[in-house]
Amino acid sequence: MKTDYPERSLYATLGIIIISTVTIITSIHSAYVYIETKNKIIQEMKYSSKHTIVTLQKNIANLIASYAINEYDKLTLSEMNHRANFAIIVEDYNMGKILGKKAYTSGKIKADNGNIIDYNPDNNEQNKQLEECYYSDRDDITSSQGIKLGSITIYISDHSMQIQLNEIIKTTIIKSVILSVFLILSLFITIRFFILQPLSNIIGIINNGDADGIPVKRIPNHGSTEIFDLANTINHMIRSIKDSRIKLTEQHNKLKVHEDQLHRSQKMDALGTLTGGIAHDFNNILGVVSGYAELLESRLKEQPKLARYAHEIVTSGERGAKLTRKLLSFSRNVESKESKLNLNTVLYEEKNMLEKTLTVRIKLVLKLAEDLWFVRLDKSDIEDAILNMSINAMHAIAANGQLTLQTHNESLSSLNAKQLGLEAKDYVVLSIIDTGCGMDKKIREKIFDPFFSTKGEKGTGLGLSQVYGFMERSKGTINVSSEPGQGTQLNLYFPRYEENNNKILSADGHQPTNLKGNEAILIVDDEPALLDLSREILSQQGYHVFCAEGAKQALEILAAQHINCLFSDVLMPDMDGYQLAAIVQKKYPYIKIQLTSGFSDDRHLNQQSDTLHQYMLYKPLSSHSLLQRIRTLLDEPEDIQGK
Amino acid sequence: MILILFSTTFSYSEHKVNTSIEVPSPEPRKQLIYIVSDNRIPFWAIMGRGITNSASMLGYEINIYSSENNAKRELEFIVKAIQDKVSGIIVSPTNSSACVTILKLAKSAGIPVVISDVGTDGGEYVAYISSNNREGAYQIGKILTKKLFELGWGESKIGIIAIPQTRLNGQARTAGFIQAINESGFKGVDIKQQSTFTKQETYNLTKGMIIEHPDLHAIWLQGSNRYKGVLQAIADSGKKDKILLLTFDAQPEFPELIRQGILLASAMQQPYLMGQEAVSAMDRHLNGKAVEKNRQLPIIIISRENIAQQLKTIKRTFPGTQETDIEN
Ligand SMILES: Nc1ncnc2c1ncn2[C@@H]1O[C@H](COP(=O)(O)OP(=O)(O)OP(=O)(O)O)[C@@H](O)[C@H]1O
Ligand SMILES: [Mg+2]
Repeated sequence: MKTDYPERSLYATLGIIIISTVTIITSIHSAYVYIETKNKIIQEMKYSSKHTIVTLQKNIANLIASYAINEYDKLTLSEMNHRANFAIIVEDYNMGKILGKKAYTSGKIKADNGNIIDYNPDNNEQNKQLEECYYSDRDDITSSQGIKLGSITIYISDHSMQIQLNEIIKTTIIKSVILSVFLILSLFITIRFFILQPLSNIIGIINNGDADGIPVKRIPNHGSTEIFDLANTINHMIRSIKDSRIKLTEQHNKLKVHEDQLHRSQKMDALGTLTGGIAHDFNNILGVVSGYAELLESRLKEQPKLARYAHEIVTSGERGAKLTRKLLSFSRNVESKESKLNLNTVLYEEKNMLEKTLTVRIKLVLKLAEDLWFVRLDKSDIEDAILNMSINAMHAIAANGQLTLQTHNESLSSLNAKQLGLEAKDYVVLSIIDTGCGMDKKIREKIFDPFFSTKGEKGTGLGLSQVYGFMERSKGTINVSSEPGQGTQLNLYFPRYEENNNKILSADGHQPTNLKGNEAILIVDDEPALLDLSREILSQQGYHVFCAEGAKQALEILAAQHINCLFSDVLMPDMDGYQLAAIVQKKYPYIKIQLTSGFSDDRHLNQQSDTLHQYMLYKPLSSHSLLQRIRTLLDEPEDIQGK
Repeated sequence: MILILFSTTFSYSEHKVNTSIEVPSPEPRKQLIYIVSDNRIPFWAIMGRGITNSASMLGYEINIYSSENNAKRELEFIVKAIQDKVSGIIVSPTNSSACVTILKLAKSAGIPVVISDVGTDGGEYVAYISSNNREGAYQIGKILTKKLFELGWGESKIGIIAIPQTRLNGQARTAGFIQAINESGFKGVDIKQQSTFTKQETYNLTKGMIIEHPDLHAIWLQGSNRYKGVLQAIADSGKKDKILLLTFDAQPEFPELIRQGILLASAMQQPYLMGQEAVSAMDRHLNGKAVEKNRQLPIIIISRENIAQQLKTIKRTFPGTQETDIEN
């Protein structure tokens, strides 16, 4: 079935068809002419012989009667000359009588060389030729009185007919050849100029392709209808292929972007989980250290020297806490206090501070869009991010340079949004542009990784990780464009603030000054050290504190004791804080509930626990914030909670 | 239609003498046969005498058969000659076409043939003896033109009453006459052909010509019979002294007519001589000698100028001849 080689050339095929067609047609035609001619000749012969006989009969009768032998001889000769007879033989009974024979036989016959010669009855050769004659006609010659004077016989040979018929065959062959040659020539010319030439032009254009083999040029559509159609069809095909390629490239690029994004988010997730886990444990440890140091400090008021030591521990703890917060911030596990903001306002407020930080060698330029949309952000987070990135820019600028902070509104098309890994909606874009050293691809790909720094001891490598975590929390994104020596531009996309999202419950409400109380508080935490620390802090202020190391124990205590407030950790092995809270809210609706967690995690967010989540206390807790929160909670009217 | 005038009394007397000579021969004498179209006509009879005379002299047995103008009889004689296995045939055929058959039959029998006058339309023969018709007609033409100039009729029209032009002798006579006329600067010639050879036909042809051409001053009759038809037409047209008459061949009364000036001139063939020549040719052939194939004998012209000299010859040639037309 498969053909690796082209079949024979179009020329050859058409040539064969033409030759056979012409041959068949001319053969049929010739056969017809042949038969026609043959019949005509035979007809003519018969007519001619009849005519000859009729004309000769009467004349010869007279001549025989008058013994004018030479005269009828002349007559037969002239008849032979005028008609294509092979022979005319006359039997003369009168002369026969004179000679003492039945008849005197004479006549004319055509010799082999075509000359007409006398017939000699004794010539066997001639007699044989007469016998072989194709046609003969004999008639009596009678006088007007009806006496038989003799006879006349006309012989017709098919020799001349054969010559004529051969001539027909010959002309047929010549005609066929000429016609074939003519037709083939004209067809070759036609095919060459109207089919093969345009085809080879088309092939040439198709072969002139780009790297993918797709033709660069369109096929000019002119020529015959068929070639025109072909050109159009091929052009259409080329166009389709080109379109498909564009789509394919687009899809490929999208896929690549998605893949990169997936890759990055997987990496970031993994890093987040890792750092989050470490930070969580570390945070708990720090909490215990700092908590006890605080307690120690408050007890050692009379011994100033020891109190100072305890204070040092508290300060270091705070620094440690700050670090873990940075880590947690990257892994999103931080408490955020979002509010409706105008980025331009934030930038104005920050301007002075930034100029001081950047010093005079770096010029700070603000390019702020008018009517900038609002965003919903944690103000301190955005301030931190701006500072972080500005400091990076400062580090990147060796001598003098410029830092541009730019804002604008942008409605992302679905395509652009997809490429950025965002939803297609309105965004406020903050761009931080510096004229620094820039980055190569290798660095560019790692800048958001925690602890990635090119600054050695001087850098922690957490600055941009923090920014990244912040952007994730903000449901926005950050991208970087930078080339070595070309400066760096970071673009931060923040979703536009939407009015129906404005139920911001400010954490900054009324802050109680009296932190003491005597209510019964049940503390639930699987970490004994933290359990102890919390109990110490609360009991110092006069609260009746009960402790449980898990939910099960807590429920037992609740069943036995009157409890005013439940203070529970979220992450616990058998039952988590939310589940416990749910049970308590159902069984003991009067009990106020406060949850605490090391992670800012959205997993358990639901209608019921929305408020609980909202007021979550994040670890490590300062004793002050714990006491303040508990006091506020207990002082709230009962119906606020559980809604 | 011709009365033959022998040019020499010599030959005539020789003939007479030789026929009477008995030539003794150890072998049977070779037989010749002369088939003549019509021995009743003096021309042929005289020719027969010439043949007999010469054959006897050369030691041949000679038989003369007269076909009497009958083609069948002519053929019968030929067949008989062939059956008799004669040595040679001399023929004066009934016509040139019939001669072809004679020659054919003789050839198939291997017998040589000499044709004496008339001629043949084809075939093989030993010799053909004829009169120089062309030359004779030419001289007649010369005599006429000379006379026309003498009479001051230099611009005259000339009429020809011709024998059928299908005959070889007719064609030769016309050609010779026209040549003489042309050489003398005459252009106006009208030819009319005889076909029935009646006196009436000749009269009508002549009358028509005279009416058609008022400047006609001469008529040449290519034969000699029916000359009276011509004279009658001239007389009836009132042109008696205005139109000259010439003929070819002779009639016994012609010397008198020439003398009277009614006839300007005529030509005479020599049949006796022709007969002698025929036998001589046959003899030469039978003896394996070269033979002149076409022998033309001169024609004698008689006019007022030479009639006195020729008269003796003419008169000697005429004894016993009838005043009938002699056809050749
Ligand atoms: N604007 C910039 N120009 C050039 N390189 C930059 C820029 N911003 C960040 N980098 C590169 O990214 C790395 C990571 O930055 P990141 O802010 O996370 O950490 P750091 O600045 O090195 O340390 P830290 O900010 O914790 O003090 C930097 O070490 C630097 O190599
Ligand atoms: Mg940094």
